[in-house]
Amino acid sequence: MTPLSITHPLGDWIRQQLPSPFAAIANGLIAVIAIAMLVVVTAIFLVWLERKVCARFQARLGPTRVGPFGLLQPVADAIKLLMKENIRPRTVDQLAYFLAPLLPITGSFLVLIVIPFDHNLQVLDPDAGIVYVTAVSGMGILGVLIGGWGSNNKYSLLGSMRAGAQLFSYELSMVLCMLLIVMASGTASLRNIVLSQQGTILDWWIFKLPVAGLVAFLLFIVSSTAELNRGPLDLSEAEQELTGGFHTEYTGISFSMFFLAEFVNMFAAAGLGATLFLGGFLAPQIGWHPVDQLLAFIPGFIWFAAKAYFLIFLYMWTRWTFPRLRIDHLLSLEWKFLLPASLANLLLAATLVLFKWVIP
Amino acid sequence: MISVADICFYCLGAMLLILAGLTVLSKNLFRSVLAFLGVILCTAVLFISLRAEMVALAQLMVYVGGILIFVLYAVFLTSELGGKMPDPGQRRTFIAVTASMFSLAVLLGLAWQFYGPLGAEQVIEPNIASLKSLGFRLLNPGPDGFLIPFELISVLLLAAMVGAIAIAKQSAKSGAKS
Repeated sequence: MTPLSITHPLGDWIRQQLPSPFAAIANGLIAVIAIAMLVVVTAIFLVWLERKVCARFQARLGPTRVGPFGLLQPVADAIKLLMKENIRPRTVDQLAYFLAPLLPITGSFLVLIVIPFDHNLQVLDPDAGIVYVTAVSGMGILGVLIGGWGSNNKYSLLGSMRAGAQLFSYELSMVLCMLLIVMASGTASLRNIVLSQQGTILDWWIFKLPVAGLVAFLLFIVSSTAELNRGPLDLSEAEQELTGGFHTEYTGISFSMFFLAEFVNMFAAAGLGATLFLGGFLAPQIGWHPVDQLLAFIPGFIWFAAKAYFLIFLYMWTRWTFPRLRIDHLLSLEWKFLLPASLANLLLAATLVLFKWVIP
Repeated sequence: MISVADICFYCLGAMLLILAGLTVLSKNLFRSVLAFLGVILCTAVLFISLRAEMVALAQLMVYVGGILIFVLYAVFLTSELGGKMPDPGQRRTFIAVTASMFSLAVLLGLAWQFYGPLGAEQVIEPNIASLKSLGFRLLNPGPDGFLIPFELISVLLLAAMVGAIAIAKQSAKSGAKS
């Protein structure tokens, strides 16, 4: 398989043109700008997709007027949000109120840096990629907590407390699912995890570990839905009880930062799921040569996007299908069901790996 | 000759000192937590610049993802917005200054051993703090392994968890009585 790549020649060309410290800075800047573009475009597209999917589930059409299929609707929305007055209540903690919207978006931006989009399309590949992901995703929780408290509003505070409890508990089972993949593939670097799934579809970790892989995938989907604060587990901003939850006091651009982070986080989580369970950028080979050749011809980042958007569709599907849980039900779901289940699943997977009972 | 790396190091060090000072001296408890977040991030960057990525990541995961969130919860539940901390008083200030001077002296004493250009025997091998070598050393029962401390810490954590559950049960019982 020949990786289609423009990033290596580009980096080398810049290294030839500029002296040593500046070339590193220029390459870093290019990577950061590329990820920032990805963040903005993904967020705008996902807002459109969410509205369309939601509309279809409710037997409506969704946005149709602005641009073809209403594709420019989120752009119009974004312009509206940016033009709105950024109201800053007098009684808030000024520093906290300013700082909080920046943290979640920073967290999801930092996660996107290690996700392998294609063979050579990854900004950084640390040895401990999974550890990195868990480390920086804590930023999101911090932003929600600080924002909710700094707003000086009871709804915000209650919303942020709930969000903190929820994010913190569901992170446990999510990390356990990731740990399972680390154990099975023998590496914690995201790129090597993808490369450990080379072969046919049956070599993806969701199928390769009999039963345990599928269970881990389902647990990952449920716990990441909670991590993303999405319905049916979106208690921190339950409109009926808490008005807007932790972002009640936020308006205009600072609200849209939270909003943006939510959608980018969804993309990051879906990308992580695709990387860990669905073979990341690898083409879905079925073991029949002519078809495999055709599938391998399609570049990896398209496969990656297809898998990630499939997972995003799953998130949206569950959001518009199930009713919202109550907070105590939510916490007992995690502590009494998901956590024991993921621990048992980890044990099962350990047995499978130890005795090499994996699908060859 | 001062290189770019040196300039970065000194800037980072200055920032770290300022933030550490703010953490201790700020009258607003919430601000000092925020300054502490800055300290953690700066230290992580410092670790990364010393090629100890794993240590930096572990620090971020433990402190930002865990300890800091619990500290924030504690602050939220105990203090008011914009509330000022009371003055610590002379006796506590004296104790605090003495303790920090003592630890400063210990640290300076340690640093003094490595002052001056490093010899070949003092340069550590590059991969000493990688994920792989850390993992192997943690689970190694031999003389340079840490298997027994590792297991002891797990037992300690288990004891702490059981204790927490016991305390929670007790208060639930007394709450039901009253």
